[in-house]
Amino acid sequence: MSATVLTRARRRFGRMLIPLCGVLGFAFLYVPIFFLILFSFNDHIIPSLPFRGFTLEWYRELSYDFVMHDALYNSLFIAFWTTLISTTLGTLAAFPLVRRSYRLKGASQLLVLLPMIIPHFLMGVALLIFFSFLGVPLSRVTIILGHVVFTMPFAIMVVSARLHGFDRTLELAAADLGANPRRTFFHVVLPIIMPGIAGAALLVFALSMDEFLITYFVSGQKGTITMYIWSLLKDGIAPRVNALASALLLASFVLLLIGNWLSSRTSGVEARR
Amino acid sequence: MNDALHARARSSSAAADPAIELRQVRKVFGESVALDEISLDIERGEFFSLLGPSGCGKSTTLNLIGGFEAPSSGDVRIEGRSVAETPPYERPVNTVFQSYALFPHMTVAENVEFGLRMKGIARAERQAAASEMLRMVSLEGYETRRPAQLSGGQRQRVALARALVNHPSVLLLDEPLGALDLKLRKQMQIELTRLQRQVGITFVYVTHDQEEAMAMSDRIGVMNRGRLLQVGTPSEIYDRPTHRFVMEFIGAANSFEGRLERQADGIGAIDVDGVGRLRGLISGNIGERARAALLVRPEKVRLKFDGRPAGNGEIEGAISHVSRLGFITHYTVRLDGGQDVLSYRLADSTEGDAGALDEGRRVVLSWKEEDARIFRSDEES
Repeated sequence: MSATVLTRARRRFGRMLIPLCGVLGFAFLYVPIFFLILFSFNDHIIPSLPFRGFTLEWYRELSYDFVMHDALYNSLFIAFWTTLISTTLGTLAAFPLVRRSYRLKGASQLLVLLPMIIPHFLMGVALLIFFSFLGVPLSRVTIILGHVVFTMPFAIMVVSARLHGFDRTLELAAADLGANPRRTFFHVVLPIIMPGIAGAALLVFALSMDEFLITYFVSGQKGTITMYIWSLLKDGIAPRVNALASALLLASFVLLLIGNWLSSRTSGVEARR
Repeated sequence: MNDALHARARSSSAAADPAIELRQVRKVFGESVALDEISLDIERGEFFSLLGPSGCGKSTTLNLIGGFEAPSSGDVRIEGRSVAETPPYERPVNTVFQSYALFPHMTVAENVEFGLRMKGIARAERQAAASEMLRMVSLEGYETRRPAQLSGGQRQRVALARALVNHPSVLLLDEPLGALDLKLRKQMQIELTRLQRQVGITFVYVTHDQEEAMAMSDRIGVMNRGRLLQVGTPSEIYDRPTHRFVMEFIGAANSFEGRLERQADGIGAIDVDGVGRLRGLISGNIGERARAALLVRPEKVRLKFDGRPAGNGEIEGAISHVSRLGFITHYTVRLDGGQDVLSYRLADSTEGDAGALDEGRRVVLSWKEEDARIFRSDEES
């Protein structure tokens, strides 16, 4: 009898275990971010408990922090061009990598994805040496080049995945209906792989905005937002950083929602091939 | 004026040239020969089927006409014009693909309008044409749906409408009913033939289903192993097959192997071990005493259950299995030599005593000699 009570208890525990793990997992992911946001409204110079009262002071401070504005503008500028270049080149590269068969295809697929696992620290040093060897002055251009190097593999990977599932009979059908190769690409191929391209662009943009190490090595006079946050932290943790981080988080969240909305608009496409 | 002249020139050439001409077309993929010297004329307005087992080269033939593949040698002509150098998007040909290949990101209407849009036809005009065509395939009201929201049969109709709206010289259909269930397939067979008569466009239809080809086609080309064996109307193909493969692939056939002894008027006899001497029409060139096969269709085999075989091609055996399929009954007769022979009889046949034809009963089999065919037995295909 006690055995059945025991098994019942064990079963109840088993039923609770998975939700519990879930809750703990989410807590691990989101509690730090929750506190980050919470302290951005805390009315105290040191972002720590206890909570002293609600204030928008730190946000107001941000609004006239012109160094920060410059850094943010630089980051957006760099992320924009990185996204444009990386996504375009990545899409172009994905076609032969997926569709063509050629000698050393396996090797080239590996080489193309390798930059993803090279530590950014190493890549930053390598790029710095390379640029100074060529005599290229460090500027936002060198940062963009650095970002393209490390983001392109991601773009290639995301677009390739979409291209793998592409039914090539659709291209035959377009040709059959009078579309030359160029029009087939723009009317059929591009619209169908567009969710993949958009996904790649969002990913590249986020990676670029976030990047610190490579940027640190190859930046000239103009710093990015990540470098600015780094410089603030050197003088101790300031609530302004919390405010800035919360604002960036909100922007990322909005971007994510837009991405979701875009892909749900094409979900009719997903249902069949 | 100029246009009128042009139109007349076109229509006079239209009368002269077949819709499709294949001239000694060969297609080789690496080592393997997909098509071996195919020559074929398909007339205008014809419903022509290419029939054969998978891998026989029928889809390759279709791809050569559509322009998705180039022949290794030989010539393909559409309405008298060689299209060797013409890419698919400039050929007056449209295709209904086996997988339908509807554009998933477009609505039904956009799919149907695609070909007209590529031709630069104005929006209003192509919308009118598309909805007209959708009405023809009984899909009015489905304009704004996406392919993913349609059933298999509906997608099939959209694929048809998308091809036919361009008024091609030839419509190519690559096993378009293969993915549908039996009932829908039968219904679409009827609908397709109706549609073909209505639009008057040449249909080239690829299938491995002999019943489908027989039911729908004006003429059939039977293919096997990259060769075109016989071209003819369904009844020609069925009643007067020129190859053993054709006879066995279309309908059922009993076969007997033996050595040929030639007799008069194209009638031969073969000696079959343990069965006797059987007679039939000789097809093709077969040497005296060469190994040959005699084939006869089950519905041509008559059953008698009284008396002894009278020689003269009659053979004896015992009924080993009876399957009653309603209007027709299949009898399997085991000959004394051990071979099984099939015989079909209509269920209401008054010939003989149908009720008495049960398993184990001894019967005499016979057929008219012109109903059996003798082929070379070493014939490859």
